[in-house]
Amino acid sequence: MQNLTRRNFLKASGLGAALWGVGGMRSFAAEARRKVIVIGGGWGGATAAKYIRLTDPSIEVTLLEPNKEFISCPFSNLVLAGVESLKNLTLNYNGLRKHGVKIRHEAAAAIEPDKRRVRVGKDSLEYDRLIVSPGVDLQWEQIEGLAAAKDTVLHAWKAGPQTVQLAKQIQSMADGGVIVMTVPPVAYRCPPGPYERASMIAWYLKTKKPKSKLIVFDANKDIVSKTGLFKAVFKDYAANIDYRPAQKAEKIDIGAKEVTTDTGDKVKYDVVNVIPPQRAGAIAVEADLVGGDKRWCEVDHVTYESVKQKNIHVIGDATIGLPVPKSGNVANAMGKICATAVVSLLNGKEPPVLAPGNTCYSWVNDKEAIAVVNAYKIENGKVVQIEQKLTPSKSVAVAQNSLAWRASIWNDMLG
Amino acid sequence: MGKSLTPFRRKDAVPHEKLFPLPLRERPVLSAVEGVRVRGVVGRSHPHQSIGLRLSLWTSFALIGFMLAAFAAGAGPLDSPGAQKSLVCSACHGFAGNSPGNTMPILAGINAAYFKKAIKDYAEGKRTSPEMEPYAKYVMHFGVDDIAGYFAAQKKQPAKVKADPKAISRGATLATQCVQCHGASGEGDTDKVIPALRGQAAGFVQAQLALFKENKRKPEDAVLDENKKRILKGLDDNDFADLREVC
Repeated sequence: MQNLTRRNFLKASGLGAALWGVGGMRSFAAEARRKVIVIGGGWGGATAAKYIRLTDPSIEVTLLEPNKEFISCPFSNLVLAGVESLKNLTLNYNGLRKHGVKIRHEAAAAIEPDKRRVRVGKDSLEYDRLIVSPGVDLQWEQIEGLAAAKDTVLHAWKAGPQTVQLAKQIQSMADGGVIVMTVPPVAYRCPPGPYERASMIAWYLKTKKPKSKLIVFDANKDIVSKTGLFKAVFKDYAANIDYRPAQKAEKIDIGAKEVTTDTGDKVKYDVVNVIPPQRAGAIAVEADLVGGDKRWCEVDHVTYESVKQKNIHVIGDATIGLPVPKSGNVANAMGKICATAVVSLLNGKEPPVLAPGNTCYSWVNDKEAIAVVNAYKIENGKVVQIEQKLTPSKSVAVAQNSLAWRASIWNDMLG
Repeated sequence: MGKSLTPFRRKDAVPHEKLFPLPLRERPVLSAVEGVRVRGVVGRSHPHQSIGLRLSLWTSFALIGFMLAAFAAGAGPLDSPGAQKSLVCSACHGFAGNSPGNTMPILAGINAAYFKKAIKDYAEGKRTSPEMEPYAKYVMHFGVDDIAGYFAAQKKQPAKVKADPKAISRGATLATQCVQCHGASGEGDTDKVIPALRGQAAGFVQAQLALFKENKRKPEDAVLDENKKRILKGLDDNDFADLREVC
């Protein structure tokens, strides 16, 4: 009997064929329970997890996200100026659970592409397809003195406790004080974000602390996004904002409260906000999803599958090579398109050819906002822009649209 | 803190459950199909077939059964070309076109011909909207018929209106002139390509009224233009605020 294989046993058994059939079907079906793991529950990952379940509920989706709550980066610059509270930007993951997404509030420790596994704590989770939406990591080491001072020199570039701390620092500064803010070289998360922040801080200074000044050191040659619109806004705040392009922050000295730039300028500050250079989240770098630059991930423009690793898709700010900004709206669109592609591939179908879109609002005072909108198509397998449109000027109507946008897109991700 | 933002938040935001009324097809679909296939095949297998043939048949039927199950499972609510091409729209207009935002129009259940006219007008710059112009070009590129068909087929979810009863009453009086074209309850007229206003996002309706009054949005029909001007001439922002609550 010890040599009796399953097949021989079945052949010898009168009921063999039927039993094998039933048993075989069951095990086949069990194997067919396809598994997708999503790393990162931000704008891209949360959307992808939800839309896979919406499109094909037979697929098991596990989302790995260490944070128990989602906090929106868009609108967090308004918190710095005291016109919005972080509470209004905080959402939970209960909606995703209702869609049947399994959520583990843990960070992925490692990806094992060869074994199609993700290590989480002591567990190894298997996947048929993996979606990595790791966001960005801040490169402290790029600015001298920053790594050692990263707990006191605030970035507030990931909405959360730092946003509230920076707001407190700005609001408790005496009138006549100097705030220094530094903008990293492209590519970084949210191209217009630093200028929206500068506008909101300048508005706050103009209305509450008119003798104070905001100095912006921009590593880029000019305002990166919505250039003309922000220039007009900065003119309105000329008494309170000193914008210095093509000056990269090189060193920070928290003892002397001083920032040094690559042009040798030294400026003393009362409050400092350093937005460090960025790259894809560490998990993407460790799993070798990044390109030669060791910073960002190249992907297929239709399926978002990594060009470096099969069965692994990368979405959101961590991607490079598409003519799209690193925005929440784009990550949300990528999440939906990637979900559709993954479901198609798991069902043996050709993924549909879809392109993302970008709707991006920036507030410039307590009531008004500006916007840029981009539409894209696919040409020869690559994302190509159809058109970019800017609002003619700042307006209350655009600001109201931004509130409708956030109600809709937050629900699209997490509702 | 944040108070300046609240007046623009939609009071009648549609709860999540209403946005996703489609029942999630759960796992039993797979096992049910699988069960039927297995029993059916057992009954039909010929007693003289070789084990090998029987096994290969088994495998084939198992595969067919599995494929059917997988197909059934994969045929989700987003499988049509229109649904897939409309995925980008939900960022602003909500899932299946049921916008929860005050100033973004609800597209669910929209008159397809009116949707197509609106998209064409936005794409050609006849209706100016920095937000919609690029997306209208996206829609034209990917296929306006698919996308119009998708939104027209979606069910508009009734919003819980918590408007001021006095505003509704004032608005209803003002709206008596609207019903001639837009229907007694604002249901619109499909044949004449007149949009439904009932249940539309209030802030959107108010903004459109203002655009018509400022002559920034023309129906491109001389008679309609004159009618709009005549009706809107004596109305102010307060009237528009009342009117929006009627929708």
